[in-house]
Amino acid sequence: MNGEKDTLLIKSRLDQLTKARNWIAEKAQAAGFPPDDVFALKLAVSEACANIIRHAYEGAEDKDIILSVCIEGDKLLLTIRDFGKKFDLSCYKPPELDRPSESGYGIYLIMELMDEVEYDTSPSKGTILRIVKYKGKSR
Amino acid sequence: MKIEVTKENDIAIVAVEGEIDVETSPQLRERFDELLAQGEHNFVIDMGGVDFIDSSGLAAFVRLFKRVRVGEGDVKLCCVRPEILKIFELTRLNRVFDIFEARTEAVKSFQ
Repeated sequence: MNGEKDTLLIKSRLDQLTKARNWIAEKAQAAGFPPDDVFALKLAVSEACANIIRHAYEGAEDKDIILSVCIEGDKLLLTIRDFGKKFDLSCYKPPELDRPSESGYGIYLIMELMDEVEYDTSPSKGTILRIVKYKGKSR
Repeated sequence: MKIEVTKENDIAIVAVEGEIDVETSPQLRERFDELLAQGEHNFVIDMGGVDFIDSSGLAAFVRLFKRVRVGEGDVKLCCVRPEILKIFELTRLNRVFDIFEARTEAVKSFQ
């Protein structure tokens, strides 16, 4: 799928997360991304979609989440689009890593595991999360 | 996700299989709570069958850890796959939990 865009539509339910993880894993594996990268992408997709379900859609189960992936050479560009409450990055506080916590690791893990992360709140409705992962670039 | 619990002396060995995510982690939390209610306070979590974990899964382990520490128990992990070990390292939870390669080592460490 070099340079081609592939898209998946899921509904805002937790039982859809496996489908989203399997979808990104299949695309990354087919493009030759190593197991570490595939795991990291699965985790990023899972955390991002779970946040959308919980915060952007506030638990509503019939809303749309659109995932798109485009792989060119060693670069994988993933976008995750929702149409709910906009994400406010200014509210994000990284976890205090010296104190084990029962929350707050989700966005931190996305940022640590991915090479580029951008939350675009410019659309009239919702947020576009853009993520870039380079093949084999261990973090 | 499948959870199997066995006992070895005063240690509860919890073998988990499958994916621990925001959909399945409540099941794990509930099982931990049941074991705590039964008086268990020393845990070995065998992660050999776990092929995915997200932040809600990490939270379930931290929650258990905080509760067992009140009673001076402990939670030890074993058989953690490299990709998952990396997540524990990134969150520094590898400094909270003792992590062993084999289940026997984890059990032995309680002695």
